[in-house]
Amino acid sequence: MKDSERYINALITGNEKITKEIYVKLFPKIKSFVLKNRGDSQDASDVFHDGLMYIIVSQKEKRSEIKSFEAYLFVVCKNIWKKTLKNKVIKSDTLTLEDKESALSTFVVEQELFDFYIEKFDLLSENCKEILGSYFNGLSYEELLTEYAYASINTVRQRVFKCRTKLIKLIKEDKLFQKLKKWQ
Amino acid sequence: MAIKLTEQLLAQIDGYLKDTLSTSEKEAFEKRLQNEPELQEEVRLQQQLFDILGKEEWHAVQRSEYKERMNELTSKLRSQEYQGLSACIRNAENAYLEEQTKVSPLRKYYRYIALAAVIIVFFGIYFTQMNSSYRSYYEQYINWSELPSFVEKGQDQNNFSHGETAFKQENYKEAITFFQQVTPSHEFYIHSLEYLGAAYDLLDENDNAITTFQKLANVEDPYERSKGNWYTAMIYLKMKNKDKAIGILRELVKDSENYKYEKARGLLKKLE
Repeated sequence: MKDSERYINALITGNEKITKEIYVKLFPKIKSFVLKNRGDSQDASDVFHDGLMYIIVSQKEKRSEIKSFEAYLFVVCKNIWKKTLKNKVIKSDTLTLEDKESALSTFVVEQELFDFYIEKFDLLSENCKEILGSYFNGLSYEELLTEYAYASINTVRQRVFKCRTKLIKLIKEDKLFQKLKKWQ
Repeated sequence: MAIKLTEQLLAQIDGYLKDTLSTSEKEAFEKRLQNEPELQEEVRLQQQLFDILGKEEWHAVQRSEYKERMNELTSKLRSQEYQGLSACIRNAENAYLEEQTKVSPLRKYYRYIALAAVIIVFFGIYFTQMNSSYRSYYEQYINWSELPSFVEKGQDQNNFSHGETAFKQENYKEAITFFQQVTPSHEFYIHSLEYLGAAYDLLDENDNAITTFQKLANVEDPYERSKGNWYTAMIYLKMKNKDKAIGILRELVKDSENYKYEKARGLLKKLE
């Protein structure tokens, strides 16, 4: 059995021994990320716990193949920490008592959206991924023109539009999108 | 979906999201938005694409937007099953951290530690044998900060939520007054017993803590009952009452569905 499968099985069945292996193997990396980004050990341990809980929730609902458990958990934990930092800035003066479970549910919904969009984005061609990635990161058509050596602004614009329409189509076709919409 | 996403419309949405429209364009667009729920959806989708595919900060998902899903998830996460899985992760973490603190300094000073150990065994055997380590089991296994939280923003305030708030602020006396008023018909009554017992424990009112946990040990749900017993055993260990603790632990290891079953087994072996 592959590592990722073994880990997921352990998490959803509550196997403490294998869960500990996950800690041995992956916790140091997450911890050093959190410590480097304005967090302490307690933060690191909460982030890791919530990251694993997210995997439990999503895998129990729909089992899907995760190619690299390590890379996936790292992305999830990074997102959790980004969110937590942002909330800390907003809420630092008032004592808020949002409970752990509601905070985690908010995160689960956001991460579900994240996973869903990334999955669709990954279906695009390499060229589309590159150019759309730059576009969504705020590059202007002019900047894309020089970056990717297209013939004219018009060609760039058409290319972005085509890739974007394709992505939107992939998203909207998926049943999950209809379900996500229902939740809104 | 009736709206056709033309290049022009997408440019407008982008302009709106990046706030680069002129005042009049913005006003016109917002007016359209108000009247066209479908356009709102398109804008939300594009917003999410910018958030996720770009490296910009995420816009927080509004709880109200995904209310149904959030409620579903929250109650799921509060269920016994998920609380158990969460506790399993925490236990694994504790085991990992324990190992970490033990292993690293050991390797370096192995020889000296071995020597020291021999000395300790010789001189310490009489003292440690007695009862000094029971309390350490209590300290190892009780962590009240892990109690589940039930306070939600915007929710009606009641004795339970007041109690929890006071508890989190470490005003245990105040917390006790509130939790004492939670009646058995309250939806979180069982959890109020946990908090109440914890508050007594933290104030070192051990007898009150035991009485409270024994109430928990008599509720209907067998899992919650085993929790009450486990807590009682821990308080006895804290009080260095080994025999009472062992008696309860022996009961706990009879059913593998019980709270902290594995821990109870391990502990029992060490104590007996």
